[in-house]
Amino acid sequence: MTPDARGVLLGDRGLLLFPSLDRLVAFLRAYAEQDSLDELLVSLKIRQLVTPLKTREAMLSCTAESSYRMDKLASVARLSGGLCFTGTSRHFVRYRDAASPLGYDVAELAQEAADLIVYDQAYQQSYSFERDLDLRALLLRLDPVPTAANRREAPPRLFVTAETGVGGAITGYLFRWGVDAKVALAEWPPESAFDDRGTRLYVFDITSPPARITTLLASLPGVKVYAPDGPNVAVELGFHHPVSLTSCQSLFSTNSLTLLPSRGDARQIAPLPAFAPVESLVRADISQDGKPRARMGKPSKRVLEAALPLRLAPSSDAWRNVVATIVPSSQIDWLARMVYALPSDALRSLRIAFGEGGEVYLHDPNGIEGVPLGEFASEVAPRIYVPAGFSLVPAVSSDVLLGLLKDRGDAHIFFTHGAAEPSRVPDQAFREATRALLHEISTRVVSAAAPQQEPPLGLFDYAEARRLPLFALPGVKESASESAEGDEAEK
Amino acid sequence: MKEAERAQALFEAFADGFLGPLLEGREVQLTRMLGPGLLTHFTFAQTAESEVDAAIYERLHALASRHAPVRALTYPSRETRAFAMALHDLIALTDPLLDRLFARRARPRVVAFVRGLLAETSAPRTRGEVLARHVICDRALALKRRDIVVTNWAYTYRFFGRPVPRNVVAMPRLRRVKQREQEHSLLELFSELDSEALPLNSLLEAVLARSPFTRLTHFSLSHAPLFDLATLAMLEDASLRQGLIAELGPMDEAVVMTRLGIELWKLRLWAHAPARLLSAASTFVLEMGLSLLLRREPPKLTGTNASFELGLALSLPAAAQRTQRLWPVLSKIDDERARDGARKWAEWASDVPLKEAENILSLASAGADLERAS
Repeated sequence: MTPDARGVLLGDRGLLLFPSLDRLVAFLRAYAEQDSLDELLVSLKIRQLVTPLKTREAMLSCTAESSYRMDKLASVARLSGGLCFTGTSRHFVRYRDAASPLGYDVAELAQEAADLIVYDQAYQQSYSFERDLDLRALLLRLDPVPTAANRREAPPRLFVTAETGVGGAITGYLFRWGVDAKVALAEWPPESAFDDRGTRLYVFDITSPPARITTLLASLPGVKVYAPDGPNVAVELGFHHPVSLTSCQSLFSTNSLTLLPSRGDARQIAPLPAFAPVESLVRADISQDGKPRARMGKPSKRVLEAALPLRLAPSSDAWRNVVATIVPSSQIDWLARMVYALPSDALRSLRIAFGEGGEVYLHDPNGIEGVPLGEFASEVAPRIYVPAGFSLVPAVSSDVLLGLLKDRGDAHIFFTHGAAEPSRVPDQAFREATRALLHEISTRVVSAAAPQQEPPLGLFDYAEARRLPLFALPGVKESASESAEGDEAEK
Repeated sequence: MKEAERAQALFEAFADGFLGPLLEGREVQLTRMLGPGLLTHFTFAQTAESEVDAAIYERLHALASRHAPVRALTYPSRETRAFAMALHDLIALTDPLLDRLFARRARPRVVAFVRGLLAETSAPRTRGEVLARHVICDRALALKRRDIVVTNWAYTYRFFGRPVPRNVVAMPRLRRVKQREQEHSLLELFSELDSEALPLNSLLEAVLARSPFTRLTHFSLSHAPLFDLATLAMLEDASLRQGLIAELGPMDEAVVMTRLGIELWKLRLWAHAPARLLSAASTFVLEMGLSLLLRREPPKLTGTNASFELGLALSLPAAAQRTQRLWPVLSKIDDERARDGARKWAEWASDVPLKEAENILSLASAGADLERAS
């Protein structure tokens, strides 16, 4: 036992003693919430102890390192019903507390034959080691607990296991909806000789899953959805592990994946199988007759020349990407009134440009529905707009459209009814609507003083009144006469 | 309860009830008398709630930094804790309930406690120590006691510095309860209760001797020489001098400069005054005078009685210009207004003080150079 820089007595190791295993688990839960268990893992030992009278207790020990670490361990252990000791080899004394801020020491070491001896103020106790406990095995034995509904969040990544019968269907489903997902086939050996074969499951790794797909997968029989709690471990969706697993990541090796279902044993996949994108696994039709489908063509010698104009045609498709509107000059007054009624969210992203003919172009990347004025326009290609409810014919793709308008620079192109050519509005012409529409604010100087920063000085109260103010005062030697008076007063 | 547990309980009450609220400006709760025998425990003790100690340190640092830049305060140190304990006991001595049959004989022992604790406190040696003690002492001296007199239809109760129990003011209409409140500052209580048996003013003087910054800012409370060896380290620190000048600035210029002149003259008459102390003190008085001259509206001294000591203090800037002594101070100031003002002050003060001021400056600078060289 040596004093550290603060004068606190410390041995080589710290020892936490718990009356039962569930108290130890409570300690791990509380400690993992505020600090990393990884720091302790290097020197951590968990053992079950037995006293000479065959009472079983649990201990956790680690290197003491510093009194700051020990202070933290002691406070959490005290909270979860444990005791904190420090010492070397097999002798451990009580760690410091409020009554003795610098710690405790023993005058003489006990000579009993025991694996561990602890010394407290009132007693000393010897223990034998019964068995070592593995922290990882202990954690995997704990069942995940349901997460409260108000604390559930949509995870950015999911692991999904599916029985082999539905795995193929899910692969196709994910491909059809364009979900960024990878799939692998994992295999586990049979649990007993009565099983005719091992377990095989499809494992999907889905990035940014849409909420509806998550809900659908979670409701399917034979499918389980897991949310990651660290890079190599995942807990069933809607549940969380009682101990924060992010604080003990070094327990889970990098080339493995541990899945913790809400019921039953944890499943470990090690080493990780190869994951393939779902696009690569969907069924492709291959002709069996051996003839190539592509027909060879020859270049024609005739030059085809044609210049067809693009036209607007009514479309029965649903309106999509309605992000702009063109307000004619006759409706400008209405627009001015409308600005006062718009919510702050709509105003923040609204941009405005004034056309030469008095018309106003409004653009809001989040949707223009908040401004019910003018002629709405849908964005059919980046910065190319057609009136809502219309489409361009011939139905060219957006790439072709962009190619046709090569010289537009950073301008916005608006196709309108009745105009031979689309209008081009440079991007610099757009400004934030609030800045463009409002006057600058002039301010009026008001003389004001800062409030008094210093709180008023407090009053003082005396201590509780005593007949003998110095009686039984620590650090004061009482005179004979006063102690006699004290005795009389007590009588 | 064991001795160590009782001592720890007292420390908790001292830190959480007295020192913390004192620095934060809340109502202060005194605890039992703290004897020098507790000092060793108090030096190493920590509160059970670590936030209390941290809050005291932060607040101490924040308040100290208002006077001068402080990088690190040496807190908790044995001497700062002894000083705070002595202040605590000094305030507790004003308790009227100590003037009772059995309690009365505790008073001389508590006076001995204060003296014993102050004997453990030496003169401050660093800027941090000076300011930590000043902050504690300055706020303690500004404390007030609330005296409440409760009368009902039959009796009158007096609660001096103690809360009124609920049962005393229960059923106010039926019992016709009336309360009168009065507040007394601690300094009023000291001057009122000072007697041969309870030498509060002499104890206060001893406390101020351990906190030279407070003694200079509350110079009217002290009759002992302001410039002594305990102030040497403080006056040689340029930042602390500026902090002192900022504290003395808002006070009446004539009163401040007269007292500084008196103290400078006392130092001049002290045969064994170290030249470094004379140099540091005259630099401080000189800087104080220059700060007054460089104000937007320099003080007009018409109508003030021209005492020799005031004249001495006011002549220092002119004497420094004439003798080119303490040049580092003057080189900072090349302001026409300061030069004109210094000349006017010297004319107003007449020749004798100017001559003496020149003597002091030459003694101080020559002696200080010699001491530095040796």
